[in-house]
Amino acid sequence: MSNSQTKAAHKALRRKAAGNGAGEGGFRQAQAWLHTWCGLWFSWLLFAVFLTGTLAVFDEPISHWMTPEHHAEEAAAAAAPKAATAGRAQRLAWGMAYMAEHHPQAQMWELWPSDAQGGGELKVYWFDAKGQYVAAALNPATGEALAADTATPVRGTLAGHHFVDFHYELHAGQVGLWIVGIAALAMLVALVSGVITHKRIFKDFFTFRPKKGQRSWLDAHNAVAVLTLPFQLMIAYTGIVISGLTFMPVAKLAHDGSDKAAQQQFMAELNGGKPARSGTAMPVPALESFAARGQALMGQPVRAVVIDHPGDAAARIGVYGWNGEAESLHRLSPTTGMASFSAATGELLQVRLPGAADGGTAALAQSAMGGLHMASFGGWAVKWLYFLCGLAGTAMMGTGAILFMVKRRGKHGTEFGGATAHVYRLVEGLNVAAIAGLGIACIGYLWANRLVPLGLTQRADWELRVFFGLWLLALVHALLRRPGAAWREQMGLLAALCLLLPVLNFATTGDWPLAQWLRGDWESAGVEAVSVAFGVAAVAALRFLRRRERHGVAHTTKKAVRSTATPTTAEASP
Amino acid sequence: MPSSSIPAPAGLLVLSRLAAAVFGGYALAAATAVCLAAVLPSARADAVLAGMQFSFVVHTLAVVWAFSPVRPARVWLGLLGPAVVLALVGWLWPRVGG
Repeated sequence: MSNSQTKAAHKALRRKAAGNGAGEGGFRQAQAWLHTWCGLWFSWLLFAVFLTGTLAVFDEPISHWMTPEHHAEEAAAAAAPKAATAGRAQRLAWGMAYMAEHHPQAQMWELWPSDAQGGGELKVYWFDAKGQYVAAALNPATGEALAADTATPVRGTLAGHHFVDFHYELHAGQVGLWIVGIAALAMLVALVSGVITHKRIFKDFFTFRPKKGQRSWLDAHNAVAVLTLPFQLMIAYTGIVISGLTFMPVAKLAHDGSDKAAQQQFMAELNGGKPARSGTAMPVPALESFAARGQALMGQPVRAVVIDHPGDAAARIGVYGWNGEAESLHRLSPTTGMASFSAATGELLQVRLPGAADGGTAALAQSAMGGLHMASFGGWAVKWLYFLCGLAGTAMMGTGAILFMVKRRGKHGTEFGGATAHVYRLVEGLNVAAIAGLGIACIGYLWANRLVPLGLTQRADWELRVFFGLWLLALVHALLRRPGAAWREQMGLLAALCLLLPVLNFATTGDWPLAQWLRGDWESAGVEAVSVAFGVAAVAALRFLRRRERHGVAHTTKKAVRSTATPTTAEASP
Repeated sequence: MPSSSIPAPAGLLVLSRLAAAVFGGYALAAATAVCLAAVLPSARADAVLAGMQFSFVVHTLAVVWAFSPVRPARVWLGLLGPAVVLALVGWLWPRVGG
């Protein structure tokens, strides 16, 4: 091939490439490129964050299901006649006496006298010499310290909290938090570029063309995304902002510096700060009058009484409230009421009404965004709405990742040069492991809860190992097996594990749906019902895969014949 | 093989845009946060929070813009230029008693 011919071929290639690269073609085309690649590389991680985050909405019911030993205790406590226990004044006095005797050096005493109804446990908290936050429980009828429950719990488990922790820090602390934060920003970028790409956003909202291959995947991707777009924007943005000062610390550092004193100064500006020690000794006054005044000021029953610098004349007494169920229904900001007093003079220092924030508008917005993200308002109806929107977001990630491959299946792409076929194979495998494989890991975690031997030391870690181990096995399996077979086998396993969860529970604990129904245990019944629903969905996916496998083979053969007859320009070029 | 010379500069250009989006975008977002923390009339801690909350919107839009059909050199300039100005305003404002 002569030099001029080569140049002409290059030009042709470049022209062809225009509109397919980064920042090329029109604005919309460039955004389509951004949406495709930003979406693809983050879709697997975001799928995991979304699925576990969605399950985290119901972390309490999941925890309840995962700690069956507590069911009997809860039922007994509910049925037993209320034993006579002391009132708040006596409980506070006992708590204070315990702290004065055992931990007089602690800088902070935190007494939780009772539940919102004035009964329940009496607990005290403080920071020990190593700076650890520790607790002790006192007998609410006698004031004596209860023996610390040091025995390993029978069924050591992170329970539903595993899903909460994984979805925002991947069980990897600060590193995990940053990874999820970056993924969440990538999601915002993908959402914005996706909306720009999408010409007929309103019309397509009503469009679904089933059984049309690629077109159907695109319709499904658009439908779940557009339908829940406000939720997806909100959940990604509030997720970032909750840890925003970690991700964007520079303004705070510029103003306050980075040392511990500056940290306290920042909090102090928001909530008035802690008083300095005076050095003059003064015993802590009786707490009941402070508790009563605090309760009247904030209009909530007392949850905790916190004494800063006990034994010093500058001591401050903070009274915190319990949020009632009715008020958390209507309030986005989940903060409780608080009132603080000078211990020496009884002077009122600060009042925070329930739902208000320490600081101004931005602090209140920060608190409300926390409530918005964690669905702390609105009760069960909002939790279900979040669950469904979360599933839609999960489906958006999944359909997006699959769509990328469906578009490229059976084509000889050149977007990664000679490695293109290998990259496509990797993407196929990652899709299977990220979608079906993660599902297996999540339901496998619940199976581990019933199957890992009881009383094992660090049993909770073993449950986690099962979760990560299953996920890793799914990845290896997906990379070794042909994509079609990998999809079917993993979807089949997922369906079986989900559908058989009630059977597993019956076999290991003897509990079953009818018993749950009869005793009104909706949390356990709900977990198993949702598991079965996921199982049914997996069966539907399995049937779809089988059908496609049968049709798909014929389809690819036809295509192969056509492509050999008319070689594409890409294959013909040098 | 002559065709292998084509992806190289294209790849570098994508890398340049990516770096501009990630680091240039972050710099602009951080400078916005610093500037807002300085100039907003509310209490300082509150202004710091507001600047942080707004900064992620800036970073998102910066990434979107970095991948629009604008030459990479202009992308860098368009992100770092305003970032320097905003950071300067944030730095000078408290010093001139604003």
